Amino acid sequence: MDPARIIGKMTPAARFWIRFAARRAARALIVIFIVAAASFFLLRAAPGGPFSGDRALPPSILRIVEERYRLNDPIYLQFFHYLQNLLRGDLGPSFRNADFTVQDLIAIGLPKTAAIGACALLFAIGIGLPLGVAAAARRSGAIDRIAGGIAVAGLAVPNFVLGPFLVMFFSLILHWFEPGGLEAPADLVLPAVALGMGPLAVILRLARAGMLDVLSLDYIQFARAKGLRERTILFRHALPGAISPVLTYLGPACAAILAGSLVVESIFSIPGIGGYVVRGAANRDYPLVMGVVLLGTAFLVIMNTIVDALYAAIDPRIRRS
Amino acid sequence: MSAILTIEHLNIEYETGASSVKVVRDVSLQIEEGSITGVVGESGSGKSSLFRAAIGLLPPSARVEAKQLQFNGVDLIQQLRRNPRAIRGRRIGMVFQDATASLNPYLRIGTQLAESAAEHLNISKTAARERALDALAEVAVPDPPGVLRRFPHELSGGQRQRVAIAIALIANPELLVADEPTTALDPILQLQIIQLLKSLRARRGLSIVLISHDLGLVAACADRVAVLYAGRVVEEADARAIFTNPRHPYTRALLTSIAPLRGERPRRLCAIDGHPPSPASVDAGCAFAPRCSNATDECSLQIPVVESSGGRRHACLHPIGDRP
Repeated sequence: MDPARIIGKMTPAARFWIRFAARRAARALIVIFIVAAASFFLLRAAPGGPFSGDRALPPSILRIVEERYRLNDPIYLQFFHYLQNLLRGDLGPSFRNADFTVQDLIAIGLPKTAAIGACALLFAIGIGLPLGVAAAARRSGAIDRIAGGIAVAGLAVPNFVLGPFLVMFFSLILHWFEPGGLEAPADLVLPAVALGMGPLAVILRLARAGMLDVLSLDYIQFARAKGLRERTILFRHALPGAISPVLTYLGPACAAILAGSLVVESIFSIPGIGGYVVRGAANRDYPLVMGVVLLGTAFLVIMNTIVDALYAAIDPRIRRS
Repeated sequence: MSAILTIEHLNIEYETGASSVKVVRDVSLQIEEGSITGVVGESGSGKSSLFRAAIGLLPPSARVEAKQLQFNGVDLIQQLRRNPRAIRGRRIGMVFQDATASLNPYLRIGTQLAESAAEHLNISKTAARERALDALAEVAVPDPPGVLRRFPHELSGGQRQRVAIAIALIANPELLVADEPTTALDPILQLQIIQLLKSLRARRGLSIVLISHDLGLVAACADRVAVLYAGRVVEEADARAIFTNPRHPYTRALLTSIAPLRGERPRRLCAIDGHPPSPASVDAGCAFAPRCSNATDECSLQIPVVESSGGRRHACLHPIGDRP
């Protein structure tokens, strides 16, 4: 059937979501291309190369190796070649981890990083959001005070301080958790707390401020005049209007968690993706760094798209425009 | 007729840090069952605070004290402290000035109607939906089933105010407090809302308090009118008496400052000189004295006592005599 006729038959809501998806997909491709180009050329602009370590290779071997990885081609050809492989889903071989492709390395590290990151995000939202709402509902009450303290501490203490502190207190003194490694699900707790504390503090503050703003609006006054329960007023009437700053922050929160995982994984000796970036950058392992950077980019693009979709799902006025 | 709401010697004070501001002073008022009572005053006269106190919607910084605040035999002050939801929406409904801001933009009209019905009437979801359809039909909104599915931004301003009234009335309250319900609407829609209020009174015997700064609007529908100035009732009488034969100089000043819509040749409009006093500054004497043409020295020394006779009352030392 003619696509134009199919679109004509759809409900306005379905048409909105299809247009939304198409626009976002196009935008995502452009973003990924720009990030790929920028990191590709920046990496190569850094001095040194993958095989110019402390112990120089004999010139004859170096030539063979460089030939093998096409490092002698003009740089635009290298870039073109990289994009070609990328379109086929091939991120190339790792220069410094012989016999491993970048996909292999990501497949080993990603599940660990993803598990910690997801737990950290759940921890930040699951504690930060309800605490912020409760703090706003009982302004200047006991919960509000405790929440204020948590927010200040979470923003002020960086994860590279909080991480070792958690290890010292909960592993070495209380013996509740292992000090490092990732063998059992319980081992996720400390890294997730160290990683999620900062975003938790921001979410808490945004939720509290958003709720206070909305609670002073006329439609909350009207909901009170209707004789609704306080619980209904808070969650059904106030929360949808208060939550958009929190949603907006989820994109940056994912970026913060991604960046923080570099530090936290090394504190807790977890062999995740973070270690690859650090070692790969030091070793000029171009394909490995590119692969991890593009993975992070794709992840953030997807998260931002989900956030925008949530906006539209919550606020009917956005769907109309 | 009996009184549905009896207010006796009611005072409202807002505590602001160390000091406090009295916004309602010693107000006594009776709302008759099945009547439309207009409550008129400038902004800051305390007219909104007075009726928000009756459903417990004042901010926590407000202190209410009264000799009596009774609603159909229920002591409101006690009941609002114990269980305000047995009053709010259930026995006294309220609509506000700006229906656009009163309706929740994130929820469908159907949800906003049905939740009130479900809350107060203890009925099932389908029954609440039925009730919502009836309520929309009663306020003469076209296409009730369609409106149920819509969001507030998809309705016109007049429809939104009708929907707000339907929400306020869905649990069959005995009294509706309409706080400036037409101020955000154009004159044609104003008239339609007023006609709606009148028909609701006629059909279901609803008692209505119409709070407004617009005397013309009040004249169009009220049976009785109370005029508030600086937190006090300065005059209260049947609507006809207020408009044809005001006793308080403030009432007369208000009447000469509205333009006649039809009939007599337009006369010169009179503005009232000066500004209404800030609630914090009123202490001795009649609050209107500085702006009053009848005022004498004693007006600024003693607070005028309320004099009532022939079903009307006023608080003025030098009331305007009956016109020939």
